[in-house]
Amino acid sequence: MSEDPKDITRRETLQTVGRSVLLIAIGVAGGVGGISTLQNVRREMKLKGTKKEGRYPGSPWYSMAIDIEKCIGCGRCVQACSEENDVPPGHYRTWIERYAIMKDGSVSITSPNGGINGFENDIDEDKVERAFFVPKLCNHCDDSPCTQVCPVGATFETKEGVVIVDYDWCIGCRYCIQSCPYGSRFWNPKRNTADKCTLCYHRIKKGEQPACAEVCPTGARLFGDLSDDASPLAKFVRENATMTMKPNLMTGAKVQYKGLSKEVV
Amino acid sequence: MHYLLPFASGQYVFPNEKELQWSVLIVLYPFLTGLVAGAFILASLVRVFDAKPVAPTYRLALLTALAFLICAPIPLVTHLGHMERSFQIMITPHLTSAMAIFGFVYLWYLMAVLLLEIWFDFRADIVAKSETTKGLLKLFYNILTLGVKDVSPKALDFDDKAGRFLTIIGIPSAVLLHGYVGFIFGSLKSNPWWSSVLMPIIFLLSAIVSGIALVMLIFIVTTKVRKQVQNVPCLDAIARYLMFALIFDLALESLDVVHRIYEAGEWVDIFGLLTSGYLFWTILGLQFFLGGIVPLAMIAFTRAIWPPASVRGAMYTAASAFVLVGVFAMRWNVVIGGQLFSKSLKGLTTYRLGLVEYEGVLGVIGLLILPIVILYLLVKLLPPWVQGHHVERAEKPST
Amino acid sequence: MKACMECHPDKAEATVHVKKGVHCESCHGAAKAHTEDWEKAKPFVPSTRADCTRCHAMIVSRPAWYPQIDPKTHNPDSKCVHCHSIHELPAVKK
Repeated sequence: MSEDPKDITRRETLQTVGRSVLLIAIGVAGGVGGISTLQNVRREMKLKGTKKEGRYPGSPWYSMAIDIEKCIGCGRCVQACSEENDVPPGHYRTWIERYAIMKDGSVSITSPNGGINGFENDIDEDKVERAFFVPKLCNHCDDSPCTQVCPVGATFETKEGVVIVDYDWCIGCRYCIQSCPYGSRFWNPKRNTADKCTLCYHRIKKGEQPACAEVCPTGARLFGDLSDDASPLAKFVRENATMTMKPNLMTGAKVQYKGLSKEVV
Repeated sequence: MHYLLPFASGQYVFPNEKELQWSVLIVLYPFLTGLVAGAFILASLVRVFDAKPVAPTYRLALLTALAFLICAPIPLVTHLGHMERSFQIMITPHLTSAMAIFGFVYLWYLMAVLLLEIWFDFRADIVAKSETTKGLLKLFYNILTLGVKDVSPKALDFDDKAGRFLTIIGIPSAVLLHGYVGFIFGSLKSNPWWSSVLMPIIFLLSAIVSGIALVMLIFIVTTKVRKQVQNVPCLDAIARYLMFALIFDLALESLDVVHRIYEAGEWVDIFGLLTSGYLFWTILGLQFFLGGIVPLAMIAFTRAIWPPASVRGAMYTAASAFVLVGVFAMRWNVVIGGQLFSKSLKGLTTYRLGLVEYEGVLGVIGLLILPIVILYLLVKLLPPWVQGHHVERAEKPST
Repeated sequence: MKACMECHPDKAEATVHVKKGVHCESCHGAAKAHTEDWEKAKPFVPSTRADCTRCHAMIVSRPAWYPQIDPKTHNPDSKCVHCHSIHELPAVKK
């Protein structure tokens, strides 16, 4: 059973060569994969800053712009939304927050019943430095965390860029509500599913405005098509300094705010 | 009082976040799966790492893992808004969702790992039972043999090899089962209380800690019930593993806390408010002190002065019970704590745990007793006290 | 809005609110039922001070450009419509 020492060396050499080839192959494959991924990421990042086209060219890319300087906090939008969409009381597809920055630097944020009945003038005016209303709604994120986490794909983004819930497929695990950084989603006790703003999908498909934008008496809510350069919304976003909520979270939030103050959460 | 300053003019909670979404049932879920993963890893110490002194608990640990695994999905499914649609998670899994993988991870672990391993391990016993029992029970055991009645040394040797192989697959599976639970929480960028890469690892380590403590406690109690003398050398060995696991667990949990305090992100004020208020006792008192430092000190102290066996046994009993309370508190702090603040990071909400409601205390107690009942039945059907043939007459409990 | 104009072009022609872009339903509430059966379902008709002050009461957080009155000092015992016209111009009655 004795082996020729030469054979042993040869076998060892072959083994070494084989392992090296394998390692190099793995390295090359990994490198190529990594570089192409990075390139894709970079391409995506480039797009993100300027993107106004939706994922589906040819389809409108709906969103809304909020002009904070126009909101008077009358709460008609919250009321209209609630009536239009049969929103259960105590839950809000849209709501209004009131911010009051006091002279001592503290910030008071209130939203009694989501602002559905409007607001009272119940802050001591002498102590207020600056105050304003901020209407909130679902941001219809392009990379929405809520559609990412839905275990059954019951919530999804339509080709118009509207994030909606399929109430007949939602199993009611509430993971999406946890994943929304804006508090836009809620539990609908009538349906026993998650629920949220649909941008009044049933209305906008007919060419109408979402209920909230329709009733806003001051035009603080501007609904429209981001991908259409001629639309009032695209024009508004072009002409004004606008900002989205929590951009650091990279959710691709589409709702644009004009006059957004640093105190807004 | 420093922490109260930013909210001097009142807190703000988003109007949709006044109610919590995930109740105490979702606290139970990671607790139960953690016990499964931990018990399995203790069992695998015997099989793969050849930890002989722990061998008497091997089969009990496997049955414990099975009993708790059967119950693990109950709180999840009952918490769904549409239980009747739960199967959709299997037929239309949404692949970008961590939760969609649950069904598969669970079934893989239950079917491919745990049931198979138990079958290989108890096969000889099942065959023996099928020959000694009568009537329905005989039929039952006959079905359990799956028609394989070969108990030749060669067949038993194959059982042993298969069991060992399954354990080797089982360790990463157990890690996956529970690390994945941590990922469900840790991967949410919306929630800074959860969002942490450490989350799966902390979940896993506390799972190991709780599983070891549970098997040790069950082992002590069952020995007592069976009127046997406690196998204290075996307990010494388990306690040693428990101590190491606790050290790692406490170190990582402390690292997490220190890191968050030092990093002091935008959430620092609201976290300060939360941990100094609602969660103060469950974090500092139960999770860190009663569930961490106290049992660690008890085991270390016992090992240092080595009191008589009966005292050691009593110390281990208390330590493992404390650990279980502490790990439950940890799950509570993660799951409930992560929902007590609004995503505005400007206000806190509250959670009231009812006694006799659908998701109340009694339900929780019921769901904690149920796996024990299942374990009782499993132990009756497949007594784990007799050693598997592969453990080569390791230290049997002396009678 | 379009639907309202079909039957009520006169109401909406020359009012300060419509000129500013305020929709009928902002004040009259959701009125789909009224378009389906106009005799049966009548929309809400605002008449009290509260209906007007919902938008026009002085609130510190309302933008300064927006017309607001302090309901406590601005003719507190009088109905708004005594002096102000809703559907005609000029907005303040002579």
